[in-house]
Amino acid sequence: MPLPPTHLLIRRLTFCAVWLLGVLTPGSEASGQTSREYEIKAVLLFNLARFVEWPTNAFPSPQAPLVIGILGRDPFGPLLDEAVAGEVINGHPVLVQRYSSLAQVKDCQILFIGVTESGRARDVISALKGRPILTVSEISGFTQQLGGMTRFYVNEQNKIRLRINLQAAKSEGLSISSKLLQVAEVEKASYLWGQVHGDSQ
Amino acid sequence: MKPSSLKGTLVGAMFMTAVTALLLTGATMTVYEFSAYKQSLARHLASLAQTIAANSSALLVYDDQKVAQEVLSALKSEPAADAACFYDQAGRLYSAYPTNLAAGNFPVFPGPDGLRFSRLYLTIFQPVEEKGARVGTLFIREDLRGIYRRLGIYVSVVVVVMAGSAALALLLSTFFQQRITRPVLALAEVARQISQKKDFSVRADMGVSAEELRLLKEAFNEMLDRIHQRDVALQQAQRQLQQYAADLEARVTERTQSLEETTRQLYDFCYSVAHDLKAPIRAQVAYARLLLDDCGERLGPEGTTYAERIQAAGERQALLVNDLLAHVSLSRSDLPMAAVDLAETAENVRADLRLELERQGAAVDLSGVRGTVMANPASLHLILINLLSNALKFVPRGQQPRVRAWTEPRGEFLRLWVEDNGVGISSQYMDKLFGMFQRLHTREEYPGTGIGLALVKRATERMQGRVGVESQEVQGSRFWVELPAAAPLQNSGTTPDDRVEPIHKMSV
Repeated sequence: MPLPPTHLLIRRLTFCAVWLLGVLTPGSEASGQTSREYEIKAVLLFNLARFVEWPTNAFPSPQAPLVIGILGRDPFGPLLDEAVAGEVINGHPVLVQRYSSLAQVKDCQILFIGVTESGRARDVISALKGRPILTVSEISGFTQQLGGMTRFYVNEQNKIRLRINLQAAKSEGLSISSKLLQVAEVEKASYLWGQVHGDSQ
Repeated sequence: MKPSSLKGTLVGAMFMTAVTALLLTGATMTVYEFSAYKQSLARHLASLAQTIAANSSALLVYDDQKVAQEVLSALKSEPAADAACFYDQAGRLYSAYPTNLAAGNFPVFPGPDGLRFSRLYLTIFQPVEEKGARVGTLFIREDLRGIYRRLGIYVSVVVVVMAGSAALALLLSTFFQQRITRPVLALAEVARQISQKKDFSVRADMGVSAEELRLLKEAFNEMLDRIHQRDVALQQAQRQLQQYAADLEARVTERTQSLEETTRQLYDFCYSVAHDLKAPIRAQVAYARLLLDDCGERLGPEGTTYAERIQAAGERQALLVNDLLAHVSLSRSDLPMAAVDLAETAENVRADLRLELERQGAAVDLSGVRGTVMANPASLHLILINLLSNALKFVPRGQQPRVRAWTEPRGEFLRLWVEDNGVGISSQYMDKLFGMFQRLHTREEYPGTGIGLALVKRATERMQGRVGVESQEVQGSRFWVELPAAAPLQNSGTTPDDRVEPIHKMSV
């Protein structure tokens, strides 16, 4: 096999070195690590919009912005704004809005619920019933007991993964692309059934 | 260039046509098949890549190696696809298939989007997009060795089919050429027979398959008909012509016979007239002499003159009758031919003319005369006597006649020349010279009957000879006579041509 050109080799080596530095340095630069994690999460959050189909009544008009709302503490800082800057999905320019209370949530298609809202999450989700809003959170149990739709988590390989409560999304008229389901963990039907059962009470 | 046979040419043409068509078809089909297969391969790969790419956006966005491997593992059903991988949004190699393949099989960075054929591989870089946003690139490589194998099989099948078809074409062309060559060869055979036997009644009657050949055969037979007709007509005309010729011959013979008879009768008449005239003339001369001898005194001077005139006229008449008799004799009787020595005859003639020669004091040189000719001795004598007499006769008064004679060979003939120093002959008279009763001078100037040269000519011609004269007025004449030589003669050695330049030449 022919060796790649020298500059490519150098580039690769540099990349490896940087990655090793990031992995091997224990505890140091915790905020740096966090910002790297949220940088990825910001992109993943925004990309959800590509794999989810909203019912037509979710947008006031075909040209209306697709709003990503953040309720509670915002872990992304400017990262999310940077990620969505200039992006247009299906004719909808992507916007980021931050809310301090549920009442402020109006024309919003994706709602990220911060960890600070863990206690009120269940109420928030029940309050959003009947509105085609994709709920996203990092709160553990969000897609299970809390009845949320999507949740980011970090697996054993230190990778950011998605859990999806398909039933919850469907009941609001949202359809999630099978492509996304392929790379996500979908909540078991047995639980969902119980969830539905529970909800019906 | 060696001419080839019709059969060979036809078979060759048909076979070559078939083989060329086969080759072209085979080549075209092979090329078409190859390119069509390449295209279908490309289409197939493109749609495969599109399908995979369309389902791979999420795994790239959400960075799922496991799913990526699963997706790429779907290529197991595609044995030709021997390498595939994803590149993420930043262009980094993301997931490779199969995992155990050396890294060198995957481009370090994605190349330009689209299909690409190289010598051994077909590659594609397919963009992975979601909602218009590019999230990565899919790379698939297909090994083309399969297509080459397939092409090889295809080509061998084509070659085998072509070989079979060519053999069949050869067989068929050999069969079909007979339908053309058989009639043509039959036609050629008929033509050959005709040219050998010259029999134009033969006809070509072979079976023909093609319309053109039928026309050819009919035209050939029609031509033969015409030739035959013409041949028959020609033969008829020839027979007619032969008939005419025979008739003409018969008529000519008849006419000739009758003419000869008439001539003979005429000669007989002439002869009897001349013969019968001799006696009265002799009597007339005799009585005239008796009258002068016995009654001379009584006649007186005037009567004597008259009687003398009667005697002279009678003598001349006798000469004339003698010459006439000689001429007629030459014409009517057979002349037996024999080898005659010219010198001897010439000497005899000189002896006969001795008196006259002495009287004139003439010088006659016969030393150049030698050789033997086929002639009638009496006629040859007559010829020589006449020529010598003539030579002596036409000399200006008071001049000594000098005559010279010699011979020279002329092919199968011997020519005798007689040259004199006489008055010569003017050119205007040359053609009359040898006619009967042609006199160029008055009887008073030079006496004679006017028959001499006519006798010479007649005698020469009856002996298959020729006679002629060269003359220059005032300077003398040179007569010649040609007769068939009896034996080879040595060259006389003396030729007079360098001494006398002839002005007029004439042959009678």
